[in-house]
Amino acid sequence: MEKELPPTWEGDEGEIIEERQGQVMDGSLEDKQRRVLITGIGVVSALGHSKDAFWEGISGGRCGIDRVTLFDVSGYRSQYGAEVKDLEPEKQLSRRILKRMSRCDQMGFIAASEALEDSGLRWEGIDRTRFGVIVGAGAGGMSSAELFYEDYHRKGPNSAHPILIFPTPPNVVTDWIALEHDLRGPRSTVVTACSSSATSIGYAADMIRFGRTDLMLAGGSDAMCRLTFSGFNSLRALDEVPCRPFDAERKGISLGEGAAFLLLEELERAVGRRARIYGEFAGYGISCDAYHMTAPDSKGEGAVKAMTSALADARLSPEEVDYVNALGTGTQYNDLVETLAIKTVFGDKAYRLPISSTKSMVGHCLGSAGSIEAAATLLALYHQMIPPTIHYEHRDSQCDLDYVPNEARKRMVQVALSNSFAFGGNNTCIVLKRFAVEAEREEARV
Amino acid sequence: MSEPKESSRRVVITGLGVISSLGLGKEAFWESLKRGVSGIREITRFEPSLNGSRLGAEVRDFNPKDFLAASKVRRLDRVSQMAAAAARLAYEDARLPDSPQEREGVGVILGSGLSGLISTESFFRSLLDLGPSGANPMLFPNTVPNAPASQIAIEMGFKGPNVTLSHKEVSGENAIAYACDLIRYGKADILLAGAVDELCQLLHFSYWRLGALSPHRRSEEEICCPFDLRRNGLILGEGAGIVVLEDASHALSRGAPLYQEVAGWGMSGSPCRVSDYEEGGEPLARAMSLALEMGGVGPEELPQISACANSSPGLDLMEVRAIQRIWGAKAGSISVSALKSMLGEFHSCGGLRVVASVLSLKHQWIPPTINYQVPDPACNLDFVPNVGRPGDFGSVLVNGSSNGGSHISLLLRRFIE
Repeated sequence: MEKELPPTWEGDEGEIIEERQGQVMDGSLEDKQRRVLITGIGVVSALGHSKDAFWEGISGGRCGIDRVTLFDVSGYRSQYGAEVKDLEPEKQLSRRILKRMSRCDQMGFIAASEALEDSGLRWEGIDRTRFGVIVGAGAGGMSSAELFYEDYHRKGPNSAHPILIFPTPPNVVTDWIALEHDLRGPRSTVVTACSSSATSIGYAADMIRFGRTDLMLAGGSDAMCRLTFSGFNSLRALDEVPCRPFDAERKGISLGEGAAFLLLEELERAVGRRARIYGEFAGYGISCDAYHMTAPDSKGEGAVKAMTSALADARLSPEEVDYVNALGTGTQYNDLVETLAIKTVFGDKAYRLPISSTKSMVGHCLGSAGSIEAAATLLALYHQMIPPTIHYEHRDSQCDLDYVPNEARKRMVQVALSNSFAFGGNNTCIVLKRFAVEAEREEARV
Repeated sequence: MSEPKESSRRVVITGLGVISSLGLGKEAFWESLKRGVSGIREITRFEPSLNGSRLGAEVRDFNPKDFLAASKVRRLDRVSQMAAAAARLAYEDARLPDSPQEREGVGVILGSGLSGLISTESFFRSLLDLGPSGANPMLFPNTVPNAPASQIAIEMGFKGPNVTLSHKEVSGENAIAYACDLIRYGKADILLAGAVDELCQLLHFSYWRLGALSPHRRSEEEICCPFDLRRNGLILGEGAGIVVLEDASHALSRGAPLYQEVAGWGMSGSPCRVSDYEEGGEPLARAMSLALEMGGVGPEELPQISACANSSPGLDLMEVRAIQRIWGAKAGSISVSALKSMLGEFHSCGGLRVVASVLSLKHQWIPPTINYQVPDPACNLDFVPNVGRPGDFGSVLVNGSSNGGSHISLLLRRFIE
């Protein structure tokens, strides 16, 4: 069902919320927040090495999941994964730097550079001490560390080459991005497994909202490695065919890899330089299940809390949401619990709300999943088109919502959520909304 | 550009939890710091003889059963056990109500360099030796870096924001800075924040191969002596330091034990090579200035400084330069103590150093930089050499710097309503 533009651009948002919730919100903090826009996007994924290739892929319902070639996967339950193919880092980086970088560092650097370039930002007049970078990471340089450890373990410690452990710590990619682009503001690296890079975007936005910086590169990078592949294999969490989120016959995840970065920019600055604006970062929420390391709590209470606190932070109501980019991993339990949580948050509206899992196309990229999905959500806002959940064939009686099966859908999207729930019960939800300069100016005049 | 007004919310520390090489619990920890006892000794948990280096600051006599139920002890690896134990101590120290309802709103922001590296190694070894079907699924959940923070949440029933940050040697400072942001800007009222890391053979060996450990050359002495002319690399340590951070009005309304206020925090970056420290000290000085400015400490007030110096030639000199940049000739009047001389260096040492500074402010006592014998003409400040002393100071600046150019400074101040 098509829906009219929600009334977000008319009247006073604050008033609407106060009325709706029947209580007066504490006005003391919200007035002090600066607003944050996204003015650049960079993506490296199984669907290609650029944001445009990524959008073309997900809006066209293309599957990036294929047989894994990075290492020998015989003997595993699944041979499938969403690898980044034909990565050509030497086009952008010198050999001297490349040999000290892990695959994760390379992909992260390429995506961050694309986001910067995409923003059209000019360096003149920029205070680099107010420009920082926050990265969400997963396995970090594990793909290199594994090679080190293999020699350490099999041939003896001294035969292992130390350059392979150099990129192991997850913050190395953060430092490379800051070094090569000469960013002198705050840096941080978030490591909360599959919600890392959703949280990194939230933390970066806070830096701008509360006046510590004006510009931030925020995102995530994670490379496929044996450790995670065999880990999920040992937990029997891999589907033997490309993953089928929300499908009745879903059997698990397909691992992926990649990186995505957003350029976050303070509103007045972005509007002032007439930047292309993909959308506004409206808010985020973080919660913890406090239940189990590898399974979500059965009612999805943690997921509900992440979504409701994200909406509260954004000062938006569930009624205003037009799209949810789901966690949608493809495991029986995760998809069921997420569906329940969405029903709890949205009530009847849940059945009218398009929900899709882009993991069906780019796999589960763990540390970078949150940022890749944030990029997908922003591009959906920008293009007013919702990417599909592919491989969807069999309706599950318990997962009975609108998962935008197999084909993208043209539709008004003003407000969207992106869910990232992780191992350990670490849940993050971010809220993104469409931003129209004209409407804002109109509002300012009123 | 519109400038945001300052939030009126203030962040106070109301509880301390310590699992360290200087003792378990805040009392034992403080007694050792005060007396200048070193936690650095011969490594006992593994055989370090492959390396030229044999010393480390290990947590000794830690029996997880003293802190956790037997069933939990089996499931958690040692790094998570240390984190959960420190969290329990901090929560009890803050005298927070012990009901599930109260706990639900509490969050955990933890820093950790490599978290469960031992579990990761064991899991990967099982894969190498036994193949995919032999990889042990019981070990895998402990390999994710957020395992300690999640295990704390599961153990204590904390359902608030739960985030793990990993940024080399500033992981602990970063966790506390982010937690302070979340409280100051109204996203949480109570957060446990701090850091945990564990020493193991693989980590020790890796540091040695990367050339970071003391002694740098075989002819040199193996010693952790920050700011001393003989310094030649770091000695690794381990432990968990966790504080309870609370919105000040929340803490006051429940009559909480108030330690100090985290009055300011600043972060900065410098474009230096990924494995190096930058030289001039400007970025660390910028982090300190941001923290001082936010905390309203003017140039006339001299804070005590808990240095991040770890006995590496480059880092220690950089920190001296950063301090001199801010205070110029007055820098000599500041007491600068390097607690890593006792605790060793590890990615999450910041958690323990914040606890130390809280106690330092409370007791108005400055712990020393130990092993300080041969002054370095380039490092010419008051390092509180070898013997601690009473002081009269209202604030402490806790510095953190990691190689690769991340700098964080936290300003602790006596809480005045």
